[in-house]
Amino acid sequence: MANDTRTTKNAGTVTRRDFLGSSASVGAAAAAGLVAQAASTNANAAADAKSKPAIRPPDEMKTRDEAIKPANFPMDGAQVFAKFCKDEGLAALFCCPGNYPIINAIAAEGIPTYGGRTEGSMCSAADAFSRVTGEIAACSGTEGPGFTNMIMNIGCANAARTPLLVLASNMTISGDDTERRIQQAYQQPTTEGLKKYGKRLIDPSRIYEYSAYAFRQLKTGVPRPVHLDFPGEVTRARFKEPGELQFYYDKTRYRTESKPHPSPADIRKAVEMIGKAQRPMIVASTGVFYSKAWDALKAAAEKNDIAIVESGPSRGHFSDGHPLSASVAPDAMLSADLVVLVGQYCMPSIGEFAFGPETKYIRVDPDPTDIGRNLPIDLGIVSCEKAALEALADALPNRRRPQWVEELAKARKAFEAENEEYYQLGLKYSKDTKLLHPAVIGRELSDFLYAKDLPKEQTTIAMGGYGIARYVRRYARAFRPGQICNGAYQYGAIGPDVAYTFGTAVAVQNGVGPQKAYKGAPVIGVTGDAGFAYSGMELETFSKYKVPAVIILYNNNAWGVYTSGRSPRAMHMYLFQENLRYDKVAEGLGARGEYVTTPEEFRAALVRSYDIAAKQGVTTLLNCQAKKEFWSQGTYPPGMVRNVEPGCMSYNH
Amino acid sequence: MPSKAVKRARPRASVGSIEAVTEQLRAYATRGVFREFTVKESRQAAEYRINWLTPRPLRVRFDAKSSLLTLVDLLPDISPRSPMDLALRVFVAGRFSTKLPEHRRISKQLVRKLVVVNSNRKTSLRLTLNKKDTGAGARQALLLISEIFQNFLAGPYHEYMVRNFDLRED
Repeated sequence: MANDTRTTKNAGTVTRRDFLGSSASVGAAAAAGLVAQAASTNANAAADAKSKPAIRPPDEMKTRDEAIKPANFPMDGAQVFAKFCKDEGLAALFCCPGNYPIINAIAAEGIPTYGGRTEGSMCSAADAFSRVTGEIAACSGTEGPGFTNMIMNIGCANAARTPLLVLASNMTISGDDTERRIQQAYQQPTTEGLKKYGKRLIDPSRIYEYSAYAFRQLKTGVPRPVHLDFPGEVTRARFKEPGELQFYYDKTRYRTESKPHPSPADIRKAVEMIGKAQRPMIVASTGVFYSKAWDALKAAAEKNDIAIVESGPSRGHFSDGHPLSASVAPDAMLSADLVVLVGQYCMPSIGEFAFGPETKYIRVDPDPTDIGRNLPIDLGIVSCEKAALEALADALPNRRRPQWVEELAKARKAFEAENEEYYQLGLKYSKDTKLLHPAVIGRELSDFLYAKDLPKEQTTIAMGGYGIARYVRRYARAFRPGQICNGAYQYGAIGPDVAYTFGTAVAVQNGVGPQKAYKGAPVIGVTGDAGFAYSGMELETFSKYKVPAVIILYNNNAWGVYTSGRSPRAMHMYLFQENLRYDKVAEGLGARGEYVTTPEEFRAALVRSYDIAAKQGVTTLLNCQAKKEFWSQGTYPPGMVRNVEPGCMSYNH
Repeated sequence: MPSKAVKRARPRASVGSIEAVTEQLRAYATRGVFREFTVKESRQAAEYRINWLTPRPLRVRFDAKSSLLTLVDLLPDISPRSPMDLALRVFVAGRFSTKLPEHRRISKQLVRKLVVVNSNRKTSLRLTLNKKDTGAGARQALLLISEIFQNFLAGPYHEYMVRNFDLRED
C-alpha cells in the first residue's frame, strides 16, 4: 500500500464532536496533509517529493473569504441577476470559467461558489446539492462547449426533478447566426425535453423580469431544471436606477408562496379508503422531500399505522429505523392493499413497482396533468404534498394495525437475512479470490456507519455506480432527510458519481437544510471504475476546497454490462485494462488513495480514511479491487442482483 | 342475451364457470391492472391474452369441464431439473403454506391442485379451480403470477429476466 506515510496512528472512529472539534485545526493540518499527499513510498516518488514542487492549493483560496461586496445601482445586467439570485436564496453555484460576468457577480454577492474541472461535473454537483438539501443550486458554463458539456448532467437533473438553475453565456445578440469568432450555439433547442423552462435573454431591460420567470418555475409545482442563456449585451448592459428595469418589484409581487391544498371531499374519500384498507402504504417520494413534509408524513403514518416506503432521488424523509418503514422490507410491498403515492413525480408503469393486482391507488401530486399517467388511480388528489399529508394527519382517526406492523417487521427481518446470506457468500468469494466482493463492501460500510461509534444519522452518502450500487443500496440506510443521494436515479447515468459526491459534501460542509446538524462531517461516495472516468478529475476539486469525503470505487476491470459482450470478437469493447490504480490518480490530484483487495484491508482503510477526512478535511479514494465475474450468476451467485422497487433498492422511479 | 338453443347447448355450470373467470379477469382490466386484455371464448373453454407485468404477454387458458386454468408457457427457457426449475417448484408449493399471511397464501379451497409442468424448457402452471367459485380461483392465479414475477424472479434471476423478458441490462 502506498499510503503509509499519510495514515494516522490512531485510526479510531469519529464522532460529530470529533470533527466539529477538529474543524478549528483543519486549516493548518490540512495544509500539511496536502503537502504530504504528494508523497509516495516508492523511491522515485520520494525523490520527486524532495526535488519537485508539491501539490498544494493556490494561495488565492484565502481571498475567497474576503468581505462580500453586494452590488448597488448603478449595476450591470450580471449584477442585477446575481442580486436577484441572492434575494431568492440561491444556495450555491458550481461552475467552470466562462459566463464570466455572471459567475463573478454571484461570487461578489456572497453566494457560495465552487469552480471545478468540467461543466458537466459541476452541473451534477449542483444537482446533488439540491437532492440532499432541497435548496436551489446553480451551475454555469461558457457558451457552446461549456454548455454542451453539461447536457448529460442536465438530463440527469431533469429526470430527478431537481430545481437546478442552468446558466450559460452565449456570445452576442448582434452576432447571432454569423459564427463570428467562436463557440456560438443555439442553446435553448439543445435543452428541449430536459428542462421545465428556458430562455435566451434578448432585451437587457427585461433581465429582472426573466429572473422572476426562472424562480417562479424553480419554486412552484414540480421542479425541473431552468436554463437561462445570457448574450453579452444583456450582462454588460448598465442600469443607473431601478426604473430602467422592467417589472422591477419585490418577490411577493412576482410569485406566490401559496400552495395547492387538497379538497375536503378528496381527503374524506382518502380517509374512507384508508379506513377500509387492512394494509395501507404511503410511497413517499420526491415531492415529500422538496415540500419538507417529513414531519407531516410521520404524523399521518403514526396516527393510523400506515407503512411508509421511500422512492426517488433522495432518501431519508422517513427513517429506515421506524417500525412503520417498508423501505427495507421489499417482501411487504405485495401485501399492501392500498397505496398512496405522494410526490411520485417520476411515475412507474404497471409492474415496475412491486405491488399486487388487488392494490388500489391514491395519488397526491401538485400537477393534475400527471395524475393517472402510467398507473391508473382510484383517487387523485391535486395538492402540495405537505398540505395533503397535514390534512390526512388531521383527518385520520387513531388506529393500530398490529398484524400489519408485525408483517413489516418480518419482512425487514427477511431482507436482512437475505443480505446476510449475500454477505457470507461474498466473504467466501473474497477469500477464494483474494478480491473484494460487492456484498462485502456494502455490509462492511453499513457496519462502520451504523453499527459502531458513529451516530447513524451522521453520514450522508452519494450513491452511485452500476452493479456496486445494486449491492450497497441493500446495506445503506437513511435515518433522516437527505441522508442518501440516489445518483443514478431514473436517467441511469453512472458517470457523475464523483461530482454528486462533491455536491453532497459541499452541502454537508456548509450545513445546508437537513444537513445542518451534521455540518462538517465527511460524506461517503460510491462509484465504479466505468463511472469514475466521467467525473474523477473532480477529486482535485475536493482537495482544492478541502471538502472531506471517502469515495469507494468498485474496480472490476469492466463496464457493468460486460455480459452483453456476447461474442469473443465483441468482448474487448466492454473491458478495461485490469487492476488499474485509480488510487494513484487520486494521489496525483492532491487527494489520498488506497488500494484494497481484501475485506480486512477494506475495513481498516475505511476507518482510516474517514478519520483523516474528519480531522484533516482530506478526501480519499478507496480503490476496491474486484473481478468482473462477480456479476455472473452462474459462477458467483447471486451475481447481478435485481432491484425491487419502491424502497431502498429504487433507482428507476 | 343468449338464445334458448345456446342455453341448451352449454351446460349451465360450464357457462357460469367461464363467465366467472372472464368477469374476474375483465374486472382487473377495467381497473387498469392490465395494459391489454383480450378474450376468446368457446363453449367449454376460454383463452385470455394479458399484457401485464412484462412486455411479454401472458396466455391463460381455462377449461370449464375440468375447471383447469393453465398459465401457458409462463416462464420460458428453464431447463428441467435445473436449480431454477427446482427453486420455482419449491416456491410455488410454498404458496400454500400456512406460515404465509392469509392475503399472500393460495387457498386450497379455491385452488384444489397446482402443478408445475416443464415441457421443452417452457414452464406452465396448471391450477385446478374449485368449480363452485372459479372467479375467486382466477384471482388466486393472478396472485400467484404476481408472486412469481415480483417475488421469486426478484431474486437472483437478473440475467434470466434480461434474456427472456426484455429487462434492460442497464
